[in-house]
Amino acid sequence: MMKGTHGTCVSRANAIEISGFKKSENGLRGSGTYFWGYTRDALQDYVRNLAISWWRYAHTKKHYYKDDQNPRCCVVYATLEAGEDDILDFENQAIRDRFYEFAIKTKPRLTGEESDIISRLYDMFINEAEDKLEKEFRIIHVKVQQPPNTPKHLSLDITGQPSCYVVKDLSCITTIDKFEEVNDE
Amino acid sequence: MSKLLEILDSIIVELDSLSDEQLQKKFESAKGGLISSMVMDGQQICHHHQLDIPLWSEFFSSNYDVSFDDVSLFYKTASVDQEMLIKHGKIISRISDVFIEAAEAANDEHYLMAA
Repeated sequence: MMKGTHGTCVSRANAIEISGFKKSENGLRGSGTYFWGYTRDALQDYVRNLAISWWRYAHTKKHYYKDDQNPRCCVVYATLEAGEDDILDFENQAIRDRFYEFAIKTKPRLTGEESDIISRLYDMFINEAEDKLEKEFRIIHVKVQQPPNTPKHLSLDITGQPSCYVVKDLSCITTIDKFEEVNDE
Repeated sequence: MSKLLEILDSIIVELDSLSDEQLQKKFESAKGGLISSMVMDGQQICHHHQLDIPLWSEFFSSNYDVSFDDVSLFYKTASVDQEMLIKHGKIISRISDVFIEAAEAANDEHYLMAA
């Protein structure tokens, strides 16, 4: 069973509690709702820290919550469900290797900002696969860099980079399990 | 799964028949930003801040017993390398705040954008 934490501010968490998650359609932020993924409850402290660190980054560096009435941190815990065929898992080696090959063949031929190229390569790859499959993936699983200043848990040699679930179909969020206001932030 | 892999294989093969213009067009029609885990390395940070790389590297090598690239790698991987910590631990703790601040400022625009 896939589970995820989502770091946000209290005001937005209240909105989620009332009307559920909303998918961000904003181009540069991509379409989807992002969760720090885990499958074992023993990892909850780890994904909680990732969510808090994300909120801190969004709050202090990006000022995402400046217009929200209560910008303090809240971690939302959710359970996600999707069939195996509905998930594009970039951490499956057969898929990762194909994405790698796709990038080897495309990246040198593209012009644009380096960071933009990387994110658009992911989108191109996903779009091409969806077009050919004539269906949309409901969840994307990909490892990402942890947010800046995430407290050390265990070495990356043990944890690997954090898992991120990008939920594209919100009906995959079957349960919102808990809202935790973080008071010491 | 096998169907998906077959389709991905066909996408890769078809890339060879795309002109650079067609590929660029596909690239530009992709939204971007869905997934980005890029973190800049030391050279890119210098570039972002319009710092002179040789001067910045010289500053590090003349002031600290650790290279700019080592600290860059330390930040980039965010891993605790025991050997490096033992060797450079005190130095890293002195300069890491400054470096991390610079790295974060540079990476602000590139870190995974998830609202």
